[in-house]
Amino acid sequence: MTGLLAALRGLLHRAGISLNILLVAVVAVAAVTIGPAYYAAAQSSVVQDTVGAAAAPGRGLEITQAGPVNAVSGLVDQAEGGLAHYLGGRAILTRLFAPPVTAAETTVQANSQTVPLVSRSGVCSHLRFTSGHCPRAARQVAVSTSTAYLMHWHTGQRIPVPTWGHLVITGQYQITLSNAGARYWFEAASRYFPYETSYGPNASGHPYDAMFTPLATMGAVPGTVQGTDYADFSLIPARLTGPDVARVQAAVTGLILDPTLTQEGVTTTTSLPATLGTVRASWRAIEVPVVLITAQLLLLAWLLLFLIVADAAEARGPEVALAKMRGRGRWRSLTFSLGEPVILLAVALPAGVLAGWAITAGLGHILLRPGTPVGLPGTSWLAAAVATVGGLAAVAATARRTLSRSVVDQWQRAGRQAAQRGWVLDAILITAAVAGLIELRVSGQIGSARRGVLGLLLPGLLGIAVAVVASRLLIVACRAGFRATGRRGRIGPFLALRHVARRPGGMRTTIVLATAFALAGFAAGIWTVTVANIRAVADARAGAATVLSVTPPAHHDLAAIVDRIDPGGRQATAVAEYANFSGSGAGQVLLAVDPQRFARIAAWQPDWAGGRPLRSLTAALDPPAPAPVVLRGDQVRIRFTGIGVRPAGGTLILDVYEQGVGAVGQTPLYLGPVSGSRTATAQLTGCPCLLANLTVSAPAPTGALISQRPVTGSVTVAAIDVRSGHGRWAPAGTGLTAPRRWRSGSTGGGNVFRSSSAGLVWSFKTQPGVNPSAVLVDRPYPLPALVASGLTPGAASVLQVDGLDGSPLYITPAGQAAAIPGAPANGIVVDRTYAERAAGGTPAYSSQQVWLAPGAWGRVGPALRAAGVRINGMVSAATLRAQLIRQGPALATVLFLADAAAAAALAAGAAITGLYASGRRRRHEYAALLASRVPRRSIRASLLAEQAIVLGFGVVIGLAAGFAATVLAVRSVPEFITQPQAPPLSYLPAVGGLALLVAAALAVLVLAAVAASMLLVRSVRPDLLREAEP
Amino acid sequence: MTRPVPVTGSVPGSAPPPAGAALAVRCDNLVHVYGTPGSEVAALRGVDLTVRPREMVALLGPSGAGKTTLLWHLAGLLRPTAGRVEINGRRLTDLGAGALARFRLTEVGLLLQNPSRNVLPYQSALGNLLFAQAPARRSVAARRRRAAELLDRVGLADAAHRRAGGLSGGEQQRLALAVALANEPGLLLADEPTTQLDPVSAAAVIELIRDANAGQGTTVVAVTHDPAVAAALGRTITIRDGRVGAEGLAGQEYVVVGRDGTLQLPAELTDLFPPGSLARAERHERGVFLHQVDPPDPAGPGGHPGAAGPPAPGAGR
Repeated sequence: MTGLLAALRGLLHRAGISLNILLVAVVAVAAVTIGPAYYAAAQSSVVQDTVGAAAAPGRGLEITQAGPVNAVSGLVDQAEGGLAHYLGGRAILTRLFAPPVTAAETTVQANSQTVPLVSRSGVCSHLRFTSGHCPRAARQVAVSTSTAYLMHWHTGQRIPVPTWGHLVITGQYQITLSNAGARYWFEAASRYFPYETSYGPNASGHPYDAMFTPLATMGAVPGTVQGTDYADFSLIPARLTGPDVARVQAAVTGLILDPTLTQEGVTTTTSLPATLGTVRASWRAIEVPVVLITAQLLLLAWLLLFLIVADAAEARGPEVALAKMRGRGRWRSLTFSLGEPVILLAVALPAGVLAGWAITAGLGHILLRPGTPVGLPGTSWLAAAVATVGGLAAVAATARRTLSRSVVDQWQRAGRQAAQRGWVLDAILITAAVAGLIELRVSGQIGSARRGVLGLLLPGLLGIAVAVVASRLLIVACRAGFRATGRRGRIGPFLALRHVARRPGGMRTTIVLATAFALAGFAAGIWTVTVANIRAVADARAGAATVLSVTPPAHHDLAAIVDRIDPGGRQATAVAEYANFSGSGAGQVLLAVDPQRFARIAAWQPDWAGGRPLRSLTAALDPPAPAPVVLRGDQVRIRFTGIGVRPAGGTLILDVYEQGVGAVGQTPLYLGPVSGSRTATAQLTGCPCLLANLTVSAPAPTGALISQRPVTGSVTVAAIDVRSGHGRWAPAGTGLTAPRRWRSGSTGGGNVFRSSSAGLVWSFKTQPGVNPSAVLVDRPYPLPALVASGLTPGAASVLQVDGLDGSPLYITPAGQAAAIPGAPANGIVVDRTYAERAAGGTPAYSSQQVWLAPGAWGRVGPALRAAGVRINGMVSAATLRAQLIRQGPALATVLFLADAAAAAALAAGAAITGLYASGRRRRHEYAALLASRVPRRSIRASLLAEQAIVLGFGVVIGLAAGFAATVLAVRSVPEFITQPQAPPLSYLPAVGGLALLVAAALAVLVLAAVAASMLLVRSVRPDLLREAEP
Repeated sequence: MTRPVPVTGSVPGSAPPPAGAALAVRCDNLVHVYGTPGSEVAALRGVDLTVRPREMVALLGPSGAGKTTLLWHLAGLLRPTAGRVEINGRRLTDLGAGALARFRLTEVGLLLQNPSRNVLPYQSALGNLLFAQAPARRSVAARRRRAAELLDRVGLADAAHRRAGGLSGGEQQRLALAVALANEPGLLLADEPTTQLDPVSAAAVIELIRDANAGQGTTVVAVTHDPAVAAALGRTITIRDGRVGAEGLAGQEYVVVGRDGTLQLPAELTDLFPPGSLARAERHERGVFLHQVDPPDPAGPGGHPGAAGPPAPGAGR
């Protein structure tokens, strides 16, 4: 107890240095604790994020069994039992999985058509009823508005269904595209809603949307009615933790291979293994850097602890000498010597672990998925214990040195000279660093499967190699400068250089400092690169600060609504998107935009297009074009003359389409034979309509579908008029007989237009099997487009892509960009107005979006809602950024930065402490100088210069080595789990940010150095010479 | 001239004496060389010295003469380059590290030159005394009793709980002396015990040393420049250039003839024999005459080196 009290008094006596040792030890323990704790938390965050973002099959499993449709309950019980068995208990099942969604599906014959009949638990809350209500009793059904329209059914109608008797329609539902994508449907939406969701013109599947009915209906039919029963299980992402992944993986495998279930025809469908594979890949991306970083930090922590403990032991030397002089034996001297540092380490262990946990929790709060639990896994405690043991070893090693030194040596401070390591170790270090660099260049990314150990250690190796060589050169330079200042008689620089050159452990300090700052510089460089690239990728993927998926009110143009809400065009823009999922253009995304607004609101980086601003690219998207011709009336009349049309017997057709329906709704109006002068009249229904084109349909030979002969001749169009009822005929549009209003619409061309006194003369000579077609010009043809570079590998001037309605759209690249906002690698941006004209309106197939500028959501969101626009979903660049930052590679980078910063702070603290302790031991020397009338300012200058040389050199050399390592290795550091195709990633560290970092680091160090020097100088007085030399 | 004094009942390797028993000191041809190869300094060049039990000896001499080195040898803190040190007939060179530590703990009290170097500054006066006794006495109560007694003896009873670093120089030195005497040593070694002290404090310290000698019979060897200390201790030995040059006994100064016949002239006579001067030594009935001679001119007529001239003025017995 007396010994403990004495040690505590000693610690208090050396409060400054004790506090520093404690801080260094705490930071060292905290630094190595963070890695494992962060990894464990990141595991949970990654699994929750990945599973949360997965589509229904990727986050759950669907168990199906064909058989009587009234047996769904049995399947659910069986599936739950099996899943619970393989998970390890029903409690785990209920913790990890939401209650299953069950369904029974069959088909019925109604109106001689096959219509799906589905009973699905909880379906009523996922349908929007336009009339009636959700069925509640047996034999009641809900039908889609599309099915009702196609079948001419109405709410309340009784439908006769063979075997089932009658089914009563209690309501009609609608389902939106976004609702159909909800995970509730477990991808059954494509079976249930082929019409309502309009999966595309080429989509296969049943032609009628499903009828929904309660399960009681299924039980009310004979057991011979066959169907398929479903039980859909979905994981609850927020409840998943790292260890659950293996458990779920095993359960899925067990369930799929379960022999009993297999014998009974029960099948399991899931993409969970792929999702969990992605989770593991993300974990691996963190795992390797975590181990690497923690190991490097551990070594650095040991080195630093050794340094600072050595200094502390040196400072306690006289006391230990006193103890030995007073006849204390080896053991007693050892305990006396170790007491204080051991107490500090004993305090530092729990304090460091606690600090590490707090820092991890802070990092987790900022970086990980909200609500991710941060704990202290066993590995954290292990790492902390290893760091502490390292500290104890350092204590023991330095204490041994102090104890083995004789008392007289101790008084005279004539310690043994440290063995000169020579250049051998330096050569080994440099060789290893170069080998690491080559390894990295050859083997690929850090953390990848082909990684090499040397490559992983490159930053540390390079840092320490540079630090060692540079530190040796510093000593040489200081010796040279020492002689020079000695000759010139400048006492301040003379003393500073002498102490740097001769101070024991001086080189050790610079090496550790430089290595730590090399790691910090590397980590900071990599972080700036990663952050910039994550920002670019998130911006490019989102398209704008915020992107809303919306449904405008019926018969309203979204662009017009947005124009009213944001007349200035700086906050919002309407975008129509059509994503092509099939054919050769699969993956292409057409974005129909207002070019001016788009240029202001879309996320853009000039380096995506060779330094060009977006507005200079979008300016070419909307060249002037004639307005479309709208036929308003119920009759259209065309006066024309057909001359020499061969083969004879052809028919002139005027194609129109109803506004807002699109090209698929094109209606041909047959105007009669195309020979001689004629005035043909056709009825218009559902108009106003858009005039689309004129076609000469050649007669097919008997027995053939189409003519295989070329069509030649000419048609002179004198006028196209419309009228309503029995009113007067009026021209359908202006300039319709002008040649510039028409272009060839036939494959292979062969159409010539000219004007004559009789009107428009249309001459044609087509390829065999092609009918001549004249298309009314109401947009540029081909449509100018801004195209992702990846889509235009050749120098094609005209490309065929899918328009907003899925029909072919010809575009010409007016500009190319390495990344297109909203669809980075495969986007095509066209003018919205022209794209809609090409599609005949805004088809349901396209997705309607509103893109918002930063900060616009607060004002535009409510305004959109007030205008009747339904907001179905929202994606923001910030959300995507957060998701990317929560992925493994970025998390590892953050961890590296945090830990390297801690290491740098640690090294700086240790260096300042060491310099202070060293200076304090020289107080007698300074007191003697004062007594010899050396000005106090010279002593202050010498102390400042010494600290500036050691600290400045270590920091500058370290950061320079770190930045060099960044430039060399940055391309090998993974930033994303899957490398994005676009936008192009930049590997240039943010110079401004790094310069700021360097300036801040230097400023802090200068302040610390000044404070330490002032304290030291203040404590130096000639009276000290009367006291014992420490 | 000092002569080796036989120490009754003490043979090399014998058991240590009981605590408080006065110790005899003997150095035979003690040589100590400091430094590393290529840079060596001989601090002691063959010191012969004997101190009887209960004797008090002051080591005098100019700075750098080797006094402190000799003292450290007596404390077993240095290993001789040549020669030997015996304490009560035990050769210190034969003792291992543990035995040396025990020797310093139980038999030797060491008082260093600088007051603050003798104590732990952050410990109280009492704490320092307890610290010094800790390995020697198992009972805390006994340690406390002894500490209180010592503090009382050195006049620091009121300062028992004051931090040692906060005591004045004189108080610190008195405390250091108490610490040195804590384990009732048979030999007290003091290095400049009164330096940096005011006359009153110096007198107090001298008195305490004498008390220890008189009360416990502690043998005292003290390095000093202070004539008061030298006078108080009775016997003085002057060390010059690493050798015993002179000895003072009962107020008389004697030169000491070394084992190789060398002797060092008293400082007041050195002006008669500047360095490099030649002298002739002639046997006399009760001693030796030493008289200066002029160096003969080797080139001069009839002259030859070593030729005797008339006695120089002042030369004599």
